[in-house]
Amino acid sequence: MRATRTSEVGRRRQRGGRILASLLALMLVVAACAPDDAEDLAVDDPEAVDEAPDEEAPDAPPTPDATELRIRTVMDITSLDPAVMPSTTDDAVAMNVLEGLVAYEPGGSGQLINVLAEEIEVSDDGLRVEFTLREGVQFHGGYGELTAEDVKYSFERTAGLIETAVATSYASDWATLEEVEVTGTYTGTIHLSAPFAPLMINTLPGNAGLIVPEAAAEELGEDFGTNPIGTGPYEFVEWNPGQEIVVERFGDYHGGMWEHLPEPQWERIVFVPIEDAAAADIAIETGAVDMGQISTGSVGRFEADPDFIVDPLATFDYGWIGMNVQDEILSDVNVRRAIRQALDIDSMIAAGFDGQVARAHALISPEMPIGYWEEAPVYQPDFEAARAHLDEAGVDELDLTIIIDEQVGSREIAEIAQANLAEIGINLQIDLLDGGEYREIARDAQQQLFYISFSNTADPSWATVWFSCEQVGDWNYQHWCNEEFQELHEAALVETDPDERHDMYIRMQEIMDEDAIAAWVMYRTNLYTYPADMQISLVPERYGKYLAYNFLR
Amino acid sequence: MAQYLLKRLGMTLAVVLLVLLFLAVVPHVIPGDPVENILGPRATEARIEQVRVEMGIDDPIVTQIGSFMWNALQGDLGRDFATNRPVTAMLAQALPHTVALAFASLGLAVLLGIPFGVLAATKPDSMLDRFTSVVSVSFITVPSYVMALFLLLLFPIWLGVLPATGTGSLSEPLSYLRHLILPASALAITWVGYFARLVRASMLEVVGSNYIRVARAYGLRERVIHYRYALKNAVIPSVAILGVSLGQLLGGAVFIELIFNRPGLGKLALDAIAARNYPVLRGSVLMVALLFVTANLVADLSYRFLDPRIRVEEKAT
Repeated sequence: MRATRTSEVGRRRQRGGRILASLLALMLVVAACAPDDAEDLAVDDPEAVDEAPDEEAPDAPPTPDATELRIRTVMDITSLDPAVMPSTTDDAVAMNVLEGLVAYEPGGSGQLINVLAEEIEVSDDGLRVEFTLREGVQFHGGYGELTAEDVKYSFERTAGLIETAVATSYASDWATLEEVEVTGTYTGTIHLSAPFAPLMINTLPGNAGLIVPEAAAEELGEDFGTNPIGTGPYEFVEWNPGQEIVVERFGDYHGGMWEHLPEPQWERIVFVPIEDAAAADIAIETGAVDMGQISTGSVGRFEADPDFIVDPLATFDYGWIGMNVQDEILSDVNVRRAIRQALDIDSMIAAGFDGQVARAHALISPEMPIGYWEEAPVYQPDFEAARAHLDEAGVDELDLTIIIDEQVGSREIAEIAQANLAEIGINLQIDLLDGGEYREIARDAQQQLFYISFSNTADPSWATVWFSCEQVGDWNYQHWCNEEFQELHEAALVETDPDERHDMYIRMQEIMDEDAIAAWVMYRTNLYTYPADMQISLVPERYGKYLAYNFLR
Repeated sequence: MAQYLLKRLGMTLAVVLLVLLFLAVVPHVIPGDPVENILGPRATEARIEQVRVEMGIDDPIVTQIGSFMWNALQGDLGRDFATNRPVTAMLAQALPHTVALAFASLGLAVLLGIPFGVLAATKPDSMLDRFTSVVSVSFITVPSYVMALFLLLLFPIWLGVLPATGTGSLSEPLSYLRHLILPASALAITWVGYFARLVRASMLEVVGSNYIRVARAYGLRERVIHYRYALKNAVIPSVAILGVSLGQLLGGAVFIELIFNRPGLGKLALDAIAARNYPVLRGSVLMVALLFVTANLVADLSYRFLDPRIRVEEKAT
């Protein structure tokens, strides 16, 4: 466990200070009338820490309830239907309620464990997966026993092969699925038209591999997402929008997970959506919730308090300053190289994220099992070299615009870029847009520079896809289409040898670097905070998430 | 009276219709496509198409405006396209929290503000008057969100009493009230000061009038004069602004709901704006507008009810 603590000295003082600083942060947000993005706070005021009048601070947090776990989530749920499930909050709740054939072992070993599968085997040619189900697995809500028919229904539904009330969002996770053949009550075979590398990395252990009962999904239709039925150790009990999502121990649980984990102590797990980061700090501090994600600005203050642990978990998410290659000025690779050479990424990380995220040198983060480019060039601001690139392009005195939205760190990043580029004679204008407008402009290639961050899953193909040719005019905001990159992206999806794939993804990142389509900024870190007497259970392979019921107190 | 009531109701209806029209048009003048924004990059074409059809986004604008207004008048505000819940159900869930907050604040403001004002008016320019002036003016100038933060710091964090976030459950009234104390106080504080100043000013005016002098001449006690005779007239301007203040309170409630993480109307609207969730946004704004016009209507009517002179003047003309 990566934890940080300090000595007992000055602890009360720091706690009072931290709260005061949280409040100040909250006040600033409210005063600025921008009460939106949950993580959008960065106030670290050492003065406030010193001046806090804190003699009255109550020492002990409220007595913890050993059977109810309360977790702060960054947003409310929208749908727990595995075919739609849009947000990470949905996923964090769903991990307690829904299960798949296999799952990643909690704790970050990267190993797969069988959950609903008794046995599972991929054929040598990668075209068939045979599975045998654990017998006697019951669905919540009296929907009966799990059979291979439910597996067929769930996978084909998410793959978009059968017509259902809700159109699937995750068909691409099952890109080459032909059908799931039911060979017995508890046995079946997944047939693929071509090998699909992410299958055992991301599809089966991820959302797209979750299994729902056909009867419930058909009966509830669009409402299944807010009344999910699964086989998990907890059943979905109640959702009070904006207040809480409650799951409770499922009496008829098959016990599959307890072969790998101790049985949980929690009778109920309550997820409390608190969007504002400073309000979340207060909720954690006062014990209104037991655990939650905090903003980068609060890390120092929580770390200084021995009553709390801050657990940083690196994710696969990445942020970058992209360049639209279809723009007249930016179509010249030398201009793009000049910009990349002038940017001070380290300062952006310090200002935009309080130094709490890792600097990115390429697309794929070091956390990814394959595809991390260790030797990627690290660009430090060098105005001489940048000006030389501009001379090569035969330009000076350029006017450019960067578009940003409300994402954490965007403003600081854009402002630093503005200062950096001024050094080489580029006048950068910053356009702050809201999400919808940003998307429209970026999709239609109306922008020049842009900062954005994307989330990502455990397979590098889900990062490279957004830079592919078919995404131009959609999510490839660089509007960049490189033939070799495209071929490699397609080939890597069907290549099953991990070493071969690794080399392919390295080459793809080299191409991106040669074409200077981006200045890579950061890999996101999720910062979880909880009382020192608690142990939490992280599952990095599930987009940097946690397994709530495996927490201990 | 009936004629006035009709006229007033007609105006209210007109305002509501205008608000409806405005809400119907809004999504078409704001740039950006909500559907792709919400569903994210991995949504299939089929899913995007499905949501677009559900939202009626591809229909001609006039059709959309027409059907929105027609459905709204029949009480159907559409469905939240992210969770598929009817917007009316979401409003029904959020409304009690906001109404409770607004009325609790208003109640606090009246209960504290009026005696405060009377107290100040009893001895104008005395130390007591000066002191209450300073306090009320400071109350007026403190924004509710600053007061909210101060209260948070003082009670849940330093003293360890009263909950910091959430609303508690309506099925447990005591717990619900405990959750209401801090947000309601934070929101009320400005109005305590405001009512105090207003009551003081109108009290001073009334105290100088002939009927009070007559009362004094009769030898009535000061307390009786102030509270039984003077206050009756002095409170009328305050009643008139009750309606307006309710509207202001609803606006301030947005911040308070954010700070205390209360799932009321303000927070609903705020989240809807962030997500471009138009059905929910329209519903919550419409609800706030309805509350506002209703409050104004009630204040208007009660004003006439409290002050017989208005009725008399009307008859005379």
